[in-house]
Amino acid sequence: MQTTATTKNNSLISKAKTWFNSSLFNLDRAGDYFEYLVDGIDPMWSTNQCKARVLGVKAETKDTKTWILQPTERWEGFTPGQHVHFTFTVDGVLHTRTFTLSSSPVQWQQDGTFTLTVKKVKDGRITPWMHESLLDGDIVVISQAQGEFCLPERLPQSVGYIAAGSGITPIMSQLRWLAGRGMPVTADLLYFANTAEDFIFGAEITELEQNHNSLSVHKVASYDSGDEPVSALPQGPIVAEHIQAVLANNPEMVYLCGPYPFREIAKSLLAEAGYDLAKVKEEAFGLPPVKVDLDGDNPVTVSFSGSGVEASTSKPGTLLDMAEAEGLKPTAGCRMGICYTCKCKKKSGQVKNVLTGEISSNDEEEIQICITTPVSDVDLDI
Amino acid sequence: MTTATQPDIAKAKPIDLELPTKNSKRRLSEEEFNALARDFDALRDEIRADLGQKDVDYMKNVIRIQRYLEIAGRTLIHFSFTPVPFTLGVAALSVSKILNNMEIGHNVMHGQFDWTNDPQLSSKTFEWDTACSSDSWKRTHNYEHHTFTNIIGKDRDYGYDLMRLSDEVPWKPFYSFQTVYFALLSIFFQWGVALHELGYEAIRDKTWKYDEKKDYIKTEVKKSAKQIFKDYIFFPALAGPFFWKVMLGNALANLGRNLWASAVIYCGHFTADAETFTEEECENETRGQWYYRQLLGSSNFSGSRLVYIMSGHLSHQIEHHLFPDIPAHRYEEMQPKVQAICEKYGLPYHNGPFWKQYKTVVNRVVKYSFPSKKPA
Repeated sequence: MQTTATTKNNSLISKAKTWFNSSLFNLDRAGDYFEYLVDGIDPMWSTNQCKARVLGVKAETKDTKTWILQPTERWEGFTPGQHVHFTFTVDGVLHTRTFTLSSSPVQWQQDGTFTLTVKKVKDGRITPWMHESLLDGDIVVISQAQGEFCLPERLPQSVGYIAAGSGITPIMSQLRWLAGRGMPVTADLLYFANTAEDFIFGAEITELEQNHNSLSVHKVASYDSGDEPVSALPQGPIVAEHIQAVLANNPEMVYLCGPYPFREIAKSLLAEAGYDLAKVKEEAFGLPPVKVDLDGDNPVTVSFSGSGVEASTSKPGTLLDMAEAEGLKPTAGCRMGICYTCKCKKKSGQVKNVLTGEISSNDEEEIQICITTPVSDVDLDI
Repeated sequence: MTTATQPDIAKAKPIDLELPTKNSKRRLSEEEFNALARDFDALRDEIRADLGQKDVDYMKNVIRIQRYLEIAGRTLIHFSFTPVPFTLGVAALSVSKILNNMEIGHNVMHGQFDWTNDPQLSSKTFEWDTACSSDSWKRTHNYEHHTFTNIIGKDRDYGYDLMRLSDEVPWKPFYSFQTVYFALLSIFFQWGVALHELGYEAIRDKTWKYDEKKDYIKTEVKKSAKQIFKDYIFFPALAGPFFWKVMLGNALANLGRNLWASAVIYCGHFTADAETFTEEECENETRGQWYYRQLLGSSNFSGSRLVYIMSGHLSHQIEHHLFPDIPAHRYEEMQPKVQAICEKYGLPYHNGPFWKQYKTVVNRVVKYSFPSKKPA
């Protein structure tokens, strides 16, 4: 009874606070009124956000870089394997992307920095920009760390790691942290890269293996192993034999991180080898690829997920027309893109602006449904 | 396309003949209308492609200046014991409210900065320092007024149903006193805007329904209560024995904002040369025809850069009506290009100094308060 009363009290107080703030500042949070004022004085200051400053950038491989970042004091730290939402300002436009951290939390405890390691995605919007323009002294907005891709509090006897490409980053964070404690678990790392040149942290991982008997590393260069094979395993895409190397020490858990298709194959191979998939932890790293069809010959499906309605068509009109054809009544006004009344949240999928021809990203964002038409499967919050 | 609202041939009137002689609308051919749309679209795309950090920096700086002015204004009003600092405080607070409503609120709520993804600059969430709620404003202004601009009977902003400003509206004795309504609306402009969606003409005509307006009334009462609390209860109460001084200061600041904002807005569509349209004229309108109506129905005024900023760049009402979601501080550089397009198609571009334009508005209000010589 008492807890209900307290919660009720709290929600009443917070309601009163919101009312008070919105009457004095026309904003629900008083801090927002001062946000531009404080960041106008010092861009690292904020009334409610965590920010981080870039202290250095270094190249890891030909298409991967590591940024050393120093967060503000409001940031509460992380456990190895966790991810953070980074908000970058690209020519005035805010873009949020999620990345796992690659450093050990010990580094942050010692000198207040962490590292972010990112591979440049071909035709991407943000990672090429980061490689080109995220430089020393730049400031990014960060979230608190989150995610479950972490070691349990009581360390297991033995763990398996399967990484592909930049999927090594959260695993590297764990390995660095474990190495700092003398590698108290038996660990097998199966690590795929496209070529022998593409192993991110390659030298450091080799050194860790030499220094710690409990760590075994199995590298695989899937498409070009160079003159000297990087390990005794078959150098090609993932097969059952690779999985056996990870399972050699009966791992209590397997950590799997890499692109979506890679993870799907790895999981089916683990299942075939008789490994319990409940003991596999995954870091979703990239979503299933989106099929974009600009000619409009293939059907696209629009999910109006707020209403549980779906529509498929090979000749899509505007999303507003499609919603109305399904009997939905989304809020709309001018139907010509000027009044912004119909703006609603697109959860995923790409759309084309019929006035400008511009194709959107696949991200969650607000769109004007009266002037956009789907070019891939789209999920709308209507 | 056939619609239920197709003109009844029997009732249809010869439109061009009926228009006042000063309205010399040059009708374009269908091809010309399409070419006009292409030219304006190209100009819009050119500016849109150039939007970036500099535009965000501009708006953030205006917001910073507005907030510093508000803090300074309220502080001066609170601590002043002589007329000079009190007047300075009132001026600062009034300018803060003008910037908040005109250059920041009006423009952000048009979605001019939605492309930045910044929640503080989002048309969906922005709330402004005036009695009208942002939701009501977006319905009546962004949708109704910007879609049906200057269509008599559909654009409720045209005269606000309080004033008759064109021969197409039949004279009634009610309009005899419209010069008084005009003055009162200027003084209490924020409340006029807040009450706009209520639809007083429907109350007058006894077609008003509570159920249709229930949600609006609820939101509006909440928003108005907050504004009254801020300006007429909370900040005056902070001053203790000087309650009435602070209340007076805040009222004067609101009055300054009301007079300026109303003057700017009247100059946008009520000037002598701003033209009106009938519903029949706008049936099945193409994009080119829509641009044409926005162009002919709006008028600019000229002045200094400061006047432009204080007007929320509604000094460039024509550019604003052609491109309502382009950041307004870009209208000044678009102006010569819009003028060149007007010249190319032989279309008028209404412009003049602020006071001259305002004088034509007052003349129009007075003139149409009397019955027309010709029966409408």
